[in-house]
Amino acid sequence: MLLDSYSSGGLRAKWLGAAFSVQLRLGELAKSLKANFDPNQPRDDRGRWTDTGSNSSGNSDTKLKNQIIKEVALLLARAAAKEVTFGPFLGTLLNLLDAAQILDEAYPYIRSYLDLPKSLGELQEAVSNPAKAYDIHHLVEQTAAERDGFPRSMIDSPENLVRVPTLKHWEINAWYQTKNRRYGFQSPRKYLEGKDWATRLRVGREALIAVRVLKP
Amino acid sequence: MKLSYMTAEQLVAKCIEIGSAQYDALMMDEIAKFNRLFDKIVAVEDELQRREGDQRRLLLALYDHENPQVRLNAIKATLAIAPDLGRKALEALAEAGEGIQSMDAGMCIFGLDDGTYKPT
Repeated sequence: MLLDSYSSGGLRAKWLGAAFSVQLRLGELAKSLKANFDPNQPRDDRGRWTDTGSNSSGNSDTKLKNQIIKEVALLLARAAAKEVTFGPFLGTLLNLLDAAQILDEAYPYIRSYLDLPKSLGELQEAVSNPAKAYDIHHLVEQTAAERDGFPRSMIDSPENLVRVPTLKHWEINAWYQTKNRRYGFQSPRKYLEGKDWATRLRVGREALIAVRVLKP
Repeated sequence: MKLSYMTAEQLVAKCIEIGSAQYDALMMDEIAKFNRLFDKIVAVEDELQRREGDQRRLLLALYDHENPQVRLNAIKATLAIAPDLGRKALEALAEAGEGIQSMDAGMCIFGLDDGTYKPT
């Protein structure tokens, strides 16, 4: 019956089934990465491995690394949301990351992804304390705001800056770029073109709440 | 095959195929691909809506689909014809820890609550 799967006691079995599927895929990805691992491969300013620079192992491996981190983080987030116990399985996941020689790099990103939501004040205060696996995020998107003539003094004001987990930042950025029925079949970024500051700020705050970074 | 030649069941299967591909595109940071697929799934959903009796109701069966993007697409495509059920499914997805799909479900709820999102 519709919605039964969201409320029944079968959640654990469903989650474990999904987890096993992800485990198999991670095993394949880890093997591929291990074969081509380069510890000096550069990363971009948001922590994602890039293919620019000396490493030329191929675009697919870069994407695979980022995918592994996202897959593991998501799996654990799902478990937390469903209050599923995942103790033994967590060890398996960590072993797979270790086998791919990316455990040390990946772990901080996965851990920060699982942070509980914070108040706006806490997120703003944290800006002065940069940390690995966290990014500084503009509540009102900076590039679009600048293009529409808002001054840098507004864009970079303390009220507009928050520190967010890197993987959540990726999700927010991706969401802003993807087409969406809710915004007239265009991306939120496109929808916000020409809009006033208050509208952009409202969407920015709602996005932080929806992505579970900001307390409602 | 042209969408207009497909059966309703084939169109539903197409929605699953496209939604699954959208999920993979997001995981691989392929935003342009996701957006191309978005245009395709909107065309499929429009075709279902054109069919007698608004066959988008067949997408209600996807509320339980294991892929969160397939679920999200189905919910948003049917909010106009099943607002209460759709709302509950959105709330469940928003709480499910499914990354961007949960985030978007939450954003839809904000829009429904403040009246800026009027599903059609």
